[in-house]
Amino acid sequence: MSTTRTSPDALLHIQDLHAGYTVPGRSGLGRRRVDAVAGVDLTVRPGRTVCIVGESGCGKSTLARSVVGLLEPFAGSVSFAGLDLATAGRRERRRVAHDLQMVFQDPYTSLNPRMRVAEIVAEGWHIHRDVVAPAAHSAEVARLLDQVGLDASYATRRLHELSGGQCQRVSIARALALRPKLIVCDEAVSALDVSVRAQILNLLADLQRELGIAYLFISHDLDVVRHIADEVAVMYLGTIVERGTAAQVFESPRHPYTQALLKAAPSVHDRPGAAKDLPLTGEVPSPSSPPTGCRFRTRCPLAADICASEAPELRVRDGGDHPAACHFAG
Amino acid sequence: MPATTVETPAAARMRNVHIAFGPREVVRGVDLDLVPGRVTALVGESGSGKSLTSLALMGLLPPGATVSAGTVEIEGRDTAGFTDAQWRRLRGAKVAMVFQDPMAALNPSFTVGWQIAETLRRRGTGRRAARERAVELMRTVGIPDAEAKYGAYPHEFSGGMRQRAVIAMALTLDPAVLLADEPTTALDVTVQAQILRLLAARQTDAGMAMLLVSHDLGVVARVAQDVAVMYAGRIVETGALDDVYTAPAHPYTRGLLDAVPDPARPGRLIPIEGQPPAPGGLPAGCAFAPRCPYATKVCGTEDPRLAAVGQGHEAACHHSDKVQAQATDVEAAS
Ligand SMILES: Nc1ncnc2c1ncn2[C@@H]1O[C@H](COP(=O)(O)OP(=O)(O)OP(=O)(O)O)[C@@H](O)[C@H]1O
Ligand SMILES: Nc1ncnc2c1ncn2[C@@H]1O[C@H](COP(=O)(O)OP(=O)(O)OP(=O)(O)O)[C@@H](O)[C@H]1O
Ligand code: SF4
Ligand code: SF4
Ligand SMILES: [Mg+2]
Ligand SMILES: [Mg+2]
Repeated sequence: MSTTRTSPDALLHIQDLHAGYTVPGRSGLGRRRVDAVAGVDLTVRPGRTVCIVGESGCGKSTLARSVVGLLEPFAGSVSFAGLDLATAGRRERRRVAHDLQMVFQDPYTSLNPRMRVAEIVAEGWHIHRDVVAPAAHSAEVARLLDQVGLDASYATRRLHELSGGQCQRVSIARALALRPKLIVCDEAVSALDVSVRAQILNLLADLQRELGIAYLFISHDLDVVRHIADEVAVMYLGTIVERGTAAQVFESPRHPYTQALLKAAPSVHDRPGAAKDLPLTGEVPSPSSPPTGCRFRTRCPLAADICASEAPELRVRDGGDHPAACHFAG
Repeated sequence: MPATTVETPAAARMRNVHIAFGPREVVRGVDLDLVPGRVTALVGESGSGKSLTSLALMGLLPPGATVSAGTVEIEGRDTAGFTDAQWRRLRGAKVAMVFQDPMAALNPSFTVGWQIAETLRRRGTGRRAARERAVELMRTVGIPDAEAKYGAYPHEFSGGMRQRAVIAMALTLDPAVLLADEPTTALDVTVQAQILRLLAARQTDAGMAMLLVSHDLGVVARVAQDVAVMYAGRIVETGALDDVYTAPAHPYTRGLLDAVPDPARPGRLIPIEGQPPAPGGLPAGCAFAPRCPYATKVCGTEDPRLAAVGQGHEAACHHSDKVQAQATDVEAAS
């Protein structure tokens, strides 16, 4: 986005990020680069909630992993609390590491299922020794478990002895344990029943108000996103196609992909068999060979000639009040 | 869909099923009928026993867990005393499952496509045909570039693609009963809608019976004819979807519906106050009593059992009449 500048008050600042994987070449020889994230700009300010929504496989988790330093970007920059993570030395990175936590999409594979709940929650305190005094560890674990709605007796259970939603709450407690400034939440509440989810979302809101925590929140649940987001970024095939406040994106979506997404959202008023708008059709393109021009054009109901030749910029167009990457988004 | 519950025999049936880890009972008497051509949704509290209930229908309870009482029947056969070999013959062909954790169902050291094809090869399909069918299934569930992704390993898939792979795997042998534990949580709503449509087609065309475990009350509303709500190891309310959603008769169900975010009501969400009973620490009387706004004295002493509150609609609550008398938010909004 042309208007992005390094804002001094940004907590997280991502510029033209390219990240992804190398896979075996088509002929089986050599390796080629797949940009699952293909040029993303994003800013998160302290105490704010930025939500990312988008198609499954569009690069949300890849983006999240590059932000927390689990994946080395191909190009572009990620800076956190003023520190460029790509060029920072190990000591400097470590200094900010506990301020930047992540709740993973899949707790079973990102955490060790044989470990006990208390060990998982307390693990970071052994590395970042000044956060909680050793004598206070077990009381603090109990407090954190209580906050996420788990009885203190779960502290001695092993992760594989928990239900899906219990596991997810352990992973939230672990992220909160280090009192970070930013939490990257990758589908962090998707395994919770709606009541526990409401409880956790209220907790996150309280912590934000009291401690100024910021959230980069990835979710498929549009009801949740609409409820918690200050800003929403919509991703499609590695790029952001629309962004704005929750009201802008949900009430006047400009990009055809966003419009399709909102139409497909399930609601408690739906019933089986009721004719519901057709979801997007057409095969999802692969990030290893994205369409020319607009990346959405192979599935877009409005696609015209210009869409194949020119990639639309993410910007505000006449008649719009927030940026969208579509030639016809007025 | 006509109410076929009475005439059509259940493809899978549970009667008074209890599941325990040693002395700790986590599922405490569940009845369930999965009928061909119908989708039954199991919703409710995290940790209430939904996954264990479905695993019991597959003979796949985790180590240490047993069906301590009650019966589990598949196509009329009591599975008590089934050998591993007997279960293996049923799994996949009669009963298949989409697991809550897709990584648990996929072997990280083999490619996804190979794993789907292998299910077919083990049942005698030729190599080439199995491969083609696997690619076709991957395409049906919306995996992009299915031909190329055939040779990719599970870790090279996004969360939602893994979930779709597991759905493809479960559908491979056209099972009579599909147990789907949170099958669409990792999917964006457009892919979700496609998958739900696909599953609904299987259910009407092939007469598949389905148990859908989900926290997403919108997804449930879109595909399920019947709903069962679980709390602390029991089904506390059950009935036709419309009845349960618009006239909930159990305070827990009511609390769940009220906890759904509503754009018309920004600000704090309304969770159910308090926490579920600690494991092994069930209160006397109704398990929901410590959190229940309707609780009276009788709730602290007498354990309520499921009782009719409408046609085909049951709830386990001493005061379900009062609960139903209050219009719900859902009703008010529609
Ligand atoms: N280790 C890997 N090797 C190769 N490709 C990968 C790897 N991990 C992810 N990918 C590919 O990168 C793309 C983006 O994946 P990512 O996990 O970021 O998607 P996502 O937006 O988080 O999707 P979901 O909503 O399904 O979780 C996908 O096409 C995926 O197949
Ligand atoms: N392997 C195990 N060992 C000991 N306890 C277990 C084990 N697996 C599950 N439990 C316990 O049994 C109860 C029911 O678990 P289950 O996984 O069926 O819950 P669930 O309803 O599927 O929850 P969720 O919605 O969070 O997935 C939980 O309290 C859980 O802690
Ligand atoms: S630029 Fe063209 S193809 Fe892309 S979203 Fe807009 S109309 Fe559709
Ligand atoms: S029986 Fe009593 S405590 Fe239990 S749900 Fe009904 S009113 Fe509440
Ligand atoms: Mg992801
Ligand atoms: Mg579960």
